[in-house]
Amino acid sequence: MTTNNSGRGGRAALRVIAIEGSTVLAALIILFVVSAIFAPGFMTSENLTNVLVQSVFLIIIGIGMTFVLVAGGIDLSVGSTMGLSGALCIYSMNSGVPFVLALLIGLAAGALVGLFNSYFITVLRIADFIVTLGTLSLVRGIVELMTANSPLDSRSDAFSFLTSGTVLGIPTAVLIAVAVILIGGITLAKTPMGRSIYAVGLNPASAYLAGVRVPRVRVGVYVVSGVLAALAGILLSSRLSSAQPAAGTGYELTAIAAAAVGGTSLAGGRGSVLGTVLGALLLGVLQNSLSLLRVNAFWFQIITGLMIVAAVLLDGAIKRFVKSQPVMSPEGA
Amino acid sequence: MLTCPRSQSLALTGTRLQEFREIKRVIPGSIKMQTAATKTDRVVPSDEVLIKVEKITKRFPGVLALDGASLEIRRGEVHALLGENGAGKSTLIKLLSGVYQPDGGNISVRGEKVDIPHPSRAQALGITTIYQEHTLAPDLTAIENVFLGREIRRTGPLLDQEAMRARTRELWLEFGGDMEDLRRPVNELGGLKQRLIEIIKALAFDAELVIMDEPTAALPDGERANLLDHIRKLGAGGVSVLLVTHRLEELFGVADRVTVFRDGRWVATMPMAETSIDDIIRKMVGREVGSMAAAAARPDDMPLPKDPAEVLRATGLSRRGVLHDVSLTVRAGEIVGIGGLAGSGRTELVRAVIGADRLDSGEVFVSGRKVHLRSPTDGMRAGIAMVPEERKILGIVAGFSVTRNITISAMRKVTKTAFLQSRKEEAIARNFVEELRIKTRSTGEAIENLSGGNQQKVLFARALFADPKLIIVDEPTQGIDVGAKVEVYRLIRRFVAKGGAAIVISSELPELLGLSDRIVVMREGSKAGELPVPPGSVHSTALMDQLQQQIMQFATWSSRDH
Amino acid sequence: MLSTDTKQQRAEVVDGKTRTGGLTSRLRAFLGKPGAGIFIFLVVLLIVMGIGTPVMLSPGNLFGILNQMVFILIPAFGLTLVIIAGGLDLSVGSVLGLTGGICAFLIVRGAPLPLAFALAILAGAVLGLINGLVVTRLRVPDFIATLAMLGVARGVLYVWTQGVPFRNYMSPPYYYLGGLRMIAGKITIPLLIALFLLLVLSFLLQRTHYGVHLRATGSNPEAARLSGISVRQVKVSAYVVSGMLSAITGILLAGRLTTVHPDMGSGYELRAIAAAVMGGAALSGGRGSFYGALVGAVTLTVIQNVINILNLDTNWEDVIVGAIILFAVLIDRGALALAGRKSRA
Repeated sequence: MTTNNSGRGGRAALRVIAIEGSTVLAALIILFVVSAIFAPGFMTSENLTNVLVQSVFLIIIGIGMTFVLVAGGIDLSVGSTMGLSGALCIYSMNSGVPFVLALLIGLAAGALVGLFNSYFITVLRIADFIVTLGTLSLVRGIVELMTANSPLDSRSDAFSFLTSGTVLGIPTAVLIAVAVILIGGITLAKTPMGRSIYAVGLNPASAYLAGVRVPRVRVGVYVVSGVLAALAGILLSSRLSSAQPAAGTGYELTAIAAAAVGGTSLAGGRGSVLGTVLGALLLGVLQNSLSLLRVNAFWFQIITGLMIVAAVLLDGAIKRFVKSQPVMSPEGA
Repeated sequence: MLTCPRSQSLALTGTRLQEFREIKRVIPGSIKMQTAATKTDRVVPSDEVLIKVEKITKRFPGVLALDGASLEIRRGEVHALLGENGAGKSTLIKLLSGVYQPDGGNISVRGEKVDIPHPSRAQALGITTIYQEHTLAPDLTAIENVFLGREIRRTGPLLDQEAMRARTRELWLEFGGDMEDLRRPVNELGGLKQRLIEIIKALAFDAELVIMDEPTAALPDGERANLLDHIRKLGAGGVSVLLVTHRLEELFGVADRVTVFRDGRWVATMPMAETSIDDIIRKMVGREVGSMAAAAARPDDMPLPKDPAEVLRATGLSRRGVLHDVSLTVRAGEIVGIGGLAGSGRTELVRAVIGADRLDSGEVFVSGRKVHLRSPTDGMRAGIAMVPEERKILGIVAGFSVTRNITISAMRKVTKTAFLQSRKEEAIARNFVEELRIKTRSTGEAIENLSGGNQQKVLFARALFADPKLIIVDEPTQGIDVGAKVEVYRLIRRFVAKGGAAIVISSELPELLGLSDRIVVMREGSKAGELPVPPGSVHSTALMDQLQQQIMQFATWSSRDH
Repeated sequence: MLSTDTKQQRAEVVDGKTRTGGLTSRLRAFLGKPGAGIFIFLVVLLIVMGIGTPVMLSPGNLFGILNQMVFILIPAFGLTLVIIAGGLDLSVGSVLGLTGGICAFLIVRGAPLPLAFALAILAGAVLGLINGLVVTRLRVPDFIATLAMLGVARGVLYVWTQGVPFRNYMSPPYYYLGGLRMIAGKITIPLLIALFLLLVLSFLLQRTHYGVHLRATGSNPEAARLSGISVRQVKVSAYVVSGMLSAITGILLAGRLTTVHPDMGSGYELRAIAAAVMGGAALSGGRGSFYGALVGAVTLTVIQNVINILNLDTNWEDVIVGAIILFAVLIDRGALALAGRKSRA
């Protein structure tokens, strides 16, 4: 392993990339510029607002996924939870439940799924991707049972306001997203709970012996993921004014992509809310420009899948770079 | 001169095993066929040189691991390689095994210079390495593990399971194994049997040199002696052994010669009969260091407090299958050592004390007040902190800085209105780095970049940050070099001098005897006995021997008697 | 010395029965086998349902179940293989859809059946190769890489078909191959193919050096590597075989359904995982059984069957598959515990 000039250039590049969020930001800016140039109708205020509102779902669910990923887990059930919360919310409203209570029921459903997941993961000690895979199927089945034969439509104006209305000129949905970003970001970066989440993601055994409440952290992140997925689901069904049986299908993939692109390590212990937000915006811009260019929508899915792989690769390269820094003593010599 | 027939193909047939046995009879020199080598029966191995390493150099980024080191291993000898961490032992092993390639110097096998670009080449040359980390596949059987990668086949890909079973059976019985064991996945057999299977794996393929890196680590004392016995037999049987170990006492009666490395260089090679532990240690560190026990002993100016307060009282601790009715009391200013064979429940006991494991019954009182411990969080709130064993896996949080590794134990102390105060954290970390003399570039340095000894100090800092009344230290000096060990002893001493109390688990008896005021000996989950270590005992060899014997007796009485 | 003996003794005491050897020890040995717990569950289920609705146990229905379970079983074989090697393949559903589409497409364009099948299987191998390389060379975690492939392959199928299903590729031989026409009125060719694969794969796993290497790779990749096994090659080969098995399933399913919808095969990975895990495949690697996967696939299909017979909403199947995935590990653990062995799952 000898150093040479090309190596040094590459290392300098990696050093910059290793700064949380810088790559994503750069990529986002580049994509934005490219879209502005090549995508017809991109730079209208109507379109840009649209992009922002569309990104809200992904931002919210991505932040939830970030919490879980940083803690070293994974939540594949978020797409199904989205469907569940929307369905429950509309069902409640149609049954006469007041608007706010119906919202709470929807969010509570998300929390319940989170508790359910965390029970299997922490108490029964089954691998997280298997548990959430199982929940993905289970909850989707429940959603389909609820909606497939009798579609649930919303007749509430208040409900639609969530995504079509504006407060002081800013779309309500965006305000909600900003609130989530602030609360989530500060919690993860600046509170003991956030620090504990990183610790659990890096080394749960050590964290446990150092006094971190590991099970509580795990339950917490899955509940957060569930609640935020539920929130995104409620907003989605608000936008469509109905609860579709397939609502949210595949969203787990996009959520993981947003987090991964934003610098969250899928192995745990690294990541940030800000990075995920940028990642979600990047994916939002991408999806928007693809549709403006009249490209088949499923290309987005293909690209999303490829981006996840690319993000993991970059993360791995960064990790190896960090490790290759001169150490105090040779490994076990 | 007879040379060992080298198996060209990797498939072992019946004649190969025969040849292996015959070699032992035919090689000229003074090797005698031993069926049961004992301590007194040790024969001097032949003078024929098997492996010669000359002026070997190996560089890594930022570090010169080996600097013109040399080593010579004779046929049939058990050769010990000693040195502090960083002396180059591990690197040398990897060079001989073909994992690394030397930057300078050369290696000769049976008089011929060789290149070892890959582990398979090392194996073809007759060099097998048994690493510290388990290199068996846990779900596979012993037979499958022995022949892994070199399966005997009938035709094409078809396995000849009968042949493999037969070969393994012969060797296994020689080592005193049970036939039943061959059918089970090896993760169901104990540590000793797994090590033996690794040795068989080496023997089944005509190994002439077996390199063992800390083979007795993580083995209970009885099994350790058993393994050392087998190693002795290997030498007697004409197979050379290169043994790397930190446990100097193991060498006597097993090793023929010992080589000491220091800072990547050869320092000395002596026949075992002509040296002593103190002599070896002196060569390892290059300075006068009294034996470990003395280094750890209570200084005369730090006597035990008179009428000390009770810090911990644990009564009737039981956990099905693991702990049976264990009681323990620790007072301010004292260090209670916990001895016993591995698997006797020492770590389980302290984990129960801090709350890491559930108890079926039993009570814990801290400073006279009863506490309910459901997790280490509760334990730490109650005033108990722990420096765990296996710091790489259970101790440090790799990926966190030194600062974060320290403050993690009591984050509430650096939190104001729900937010962490980074400046306060840094200040606290800097204090600890200074006080404990932690060698690091900065408090923001990633902890995995620190050496083992300094990582251990960071873990101490973490424990101290929680401001505990009682510190539990599990294997305080595992895998750290002699100089760092002394510093760790000093840390423990200072803590108890200020009125704290400590529990220390150690598998190194001299260390345990040096540190402890009292030793509790565990055996199969129960408290087998307790003995005081009178102050000044370290200065009397007779007393030390007596105490060691007593500890061993407590640790190994059969469970039927009392 | 101390530890293992006392552990053995404790295992004997824990389950409280007196050891009399013979029957009880054989029972314990059986319970230790992968998939044993599920097998018992299956038998109980069949008995219970059989009492309630005798039509369930009619030969026609039973054969129907066997012929139907093939489409879960073959992907489950692939999954078992990959799980034993220490990996995971979430892409089987998408790969089977895409390769089924390739097959149909080629036939419509005039390719003779054998060529179309061969190319589809080749495509499956290529997709599996990509999975394997991304996991081993690019070091992306298994479930991420195959999750990405799940999305990408499905996306490719959608984009390619423009949302319009492939049709008009059926022919008499294909009717037989898809199982729409049966042999002796009872057995379909897919079933025979599945049983053939079962024998071949089991033989491969237990009697060849490849099988040992595969298990070693999953059990302790470091040990395998040090023994000279190319862990990379073994793992990649497992993914390639899985891809090919998915392709075979895609070909058969295309024959069964007579049209290739862009979402064909969607969700099959869940069923395949459920079957593999029920069959004793340990996600930690190194353990698994094709016969166990058979038990798992049959059980899942029986459950499908029960849902039909009881006239329940078919969406209950998703719920049940989900629950099975959640509980299968527990059942397997429970059976192992009864057998006195510790589970690594």
